[in-house]
Amino acid sequence: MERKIKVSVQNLEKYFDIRGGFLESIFSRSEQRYLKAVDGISFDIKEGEIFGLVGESGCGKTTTGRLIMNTIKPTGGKIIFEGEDLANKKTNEEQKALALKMQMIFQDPYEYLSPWLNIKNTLGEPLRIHELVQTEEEELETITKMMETVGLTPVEMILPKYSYELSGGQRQRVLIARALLLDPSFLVADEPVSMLDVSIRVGILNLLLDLKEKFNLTGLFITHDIAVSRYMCDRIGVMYLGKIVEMGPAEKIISNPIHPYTKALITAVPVPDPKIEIGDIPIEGRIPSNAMDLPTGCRFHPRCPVAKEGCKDKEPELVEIEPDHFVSCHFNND
Amino acid sequence: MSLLEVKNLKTYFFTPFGKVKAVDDISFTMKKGASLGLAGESGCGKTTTAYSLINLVPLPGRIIGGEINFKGEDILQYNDKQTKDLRWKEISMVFQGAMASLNPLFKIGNQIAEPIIYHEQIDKNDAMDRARELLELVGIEQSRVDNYPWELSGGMRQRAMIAMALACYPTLLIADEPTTALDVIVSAQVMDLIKDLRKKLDLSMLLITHDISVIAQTCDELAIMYAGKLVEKTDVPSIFDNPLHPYSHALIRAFPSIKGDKKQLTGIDGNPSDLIDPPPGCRFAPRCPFAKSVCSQEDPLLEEVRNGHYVACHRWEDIQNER
Repeated sequence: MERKIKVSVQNLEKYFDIRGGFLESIFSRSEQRYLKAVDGISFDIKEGEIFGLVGESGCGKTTTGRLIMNTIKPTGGKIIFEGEDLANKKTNEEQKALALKMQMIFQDPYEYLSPWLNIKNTLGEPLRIHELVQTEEEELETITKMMETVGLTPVEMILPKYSYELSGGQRQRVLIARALLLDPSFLVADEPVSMLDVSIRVGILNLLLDLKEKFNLTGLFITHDIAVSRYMCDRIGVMYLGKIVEMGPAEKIISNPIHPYTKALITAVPVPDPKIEIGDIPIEGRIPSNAMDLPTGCRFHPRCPVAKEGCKDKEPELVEIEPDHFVSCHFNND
Repeated sequence: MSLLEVKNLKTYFFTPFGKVKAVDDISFTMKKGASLGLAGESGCGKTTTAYSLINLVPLPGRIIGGEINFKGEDILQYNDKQTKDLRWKEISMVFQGAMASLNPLFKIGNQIAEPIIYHEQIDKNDAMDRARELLELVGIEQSRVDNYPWELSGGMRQRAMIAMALACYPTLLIADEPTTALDVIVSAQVMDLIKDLRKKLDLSMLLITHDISVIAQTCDELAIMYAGKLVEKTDVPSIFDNPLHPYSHALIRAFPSIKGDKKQLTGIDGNPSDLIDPPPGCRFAPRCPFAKSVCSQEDPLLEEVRNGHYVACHRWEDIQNER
């Protein structure tokens, strides 16, 4: 059975205005310049799957996450969530209703927890705002149950603590608990484990996979680590400079990458096994630091080992080369 | 004779909250030309170990015991002048976070030339020529000597740091998380460079990282630290094939891999141990699935259980059978 589409991103664009200072913006006649963080990407997230966005820093993956969460407005394109265009959700009530359906967890849990609230209030606040509980007993009961679910035990010990008294792994669990208390059906996780220690990391990843089953979640998982995306995601999209260059089932892309950038990204990952020798990195250089002056044609051509004449002039389309495997390269058959 | 011999090294930090036993009685040796990876989680004492080797432990930390024999001499007995001569000329270090370790007010070339001028008393022009050669060696155009650190990208800064560490042709290079802040592809390029240079210059290297996959690809030997203690040390193939300490076993299996079949990963329960008031006996015991009563009573010693394979665990033999 074909699964329903939960989130549909269509030609999404986000350009950041980078006129210099205030005075400059008034007096200077120089051309208006933009940083194209996300530049025309489209993908669907089906109900019940985890879709991964993978790429290096500055590729636009976090911006995409924030756009989907409706915390910043897109420059162009559409985001359809459960059949409704997010651009029409303007009033406070609509935003509040949306918060009950989609939640986000972040890379640095410390930054997103108030140092003034203890854990009891941190977790209680969203319940009160959304009027999901009537009495204090009910609130405590709901919180306790959630804390046990995410492994924040012993509950009585942790409830009165403040975020700075918890370890990194515990903080991330608080953030996950807070997001799930509202019983959302869609969760965006932005690099949820990259700040955590190795021994803690797997615990959080496994927790997220368990919770996905338990709460029937659909997810967007943002990471720079393609090995983690393989562990977590059903399908992934590889981003480079604001574009998706390759998209498809995680296993398929990792075993048979087509785009030269995906190939390089996979080769560059160190493998925890000395018997496997990693190959030479096929590409030179790095992501252009000045994302305002993007290369013409295919954005990857200056670093591409197989670039030919046409790559400089014509931008490749994202085309389906086999069922559910999309590649944006002029030479996807070679 | 081994190049470096660390014996019962103890480095503590004297904070208002108590003594933090960052490095607590560790011993290991390194042969000339060897590459040893030192792995462990944040706060396990790996960076403090590195700082101890060049006697640069920041306050309120102090080395309170042990010996560090380098080429047969205990460098902890050196006076200031001798220590300064040793740093960079014999042992140099690539620090974590290149931007924080380069001075933004000086050009790259001058920063690389500075230790050369100090150690070799040569003239500034010759030192600058050497700086240009070094930049070329690490894959940066010579013209970049006149750039300031903030004019370089993250990967180039890290390369410049490596060039600086190699300025006086040291015998031992310590690299402290050289690629942690870098993007995947750039970090693979930097690790490739380090591997090449090691061969070319016959360097001995101590690589400190939390990422054991990097060690698997770069080093011959691996030592694993947990809460200020060394728990296991041996050559890379045997530890990845058959880790004897339960912590090493868990650490190696906690990394998702991109090659081979997709495996179910298992984390380690609990949190890293408190270094002010560590648990009695084996520090890993509270998190260890194999712990018995002896583990929380007696501190296990690091013993050579097989040829060149050291492990600090009371129950390593039983665990082999139980697993």
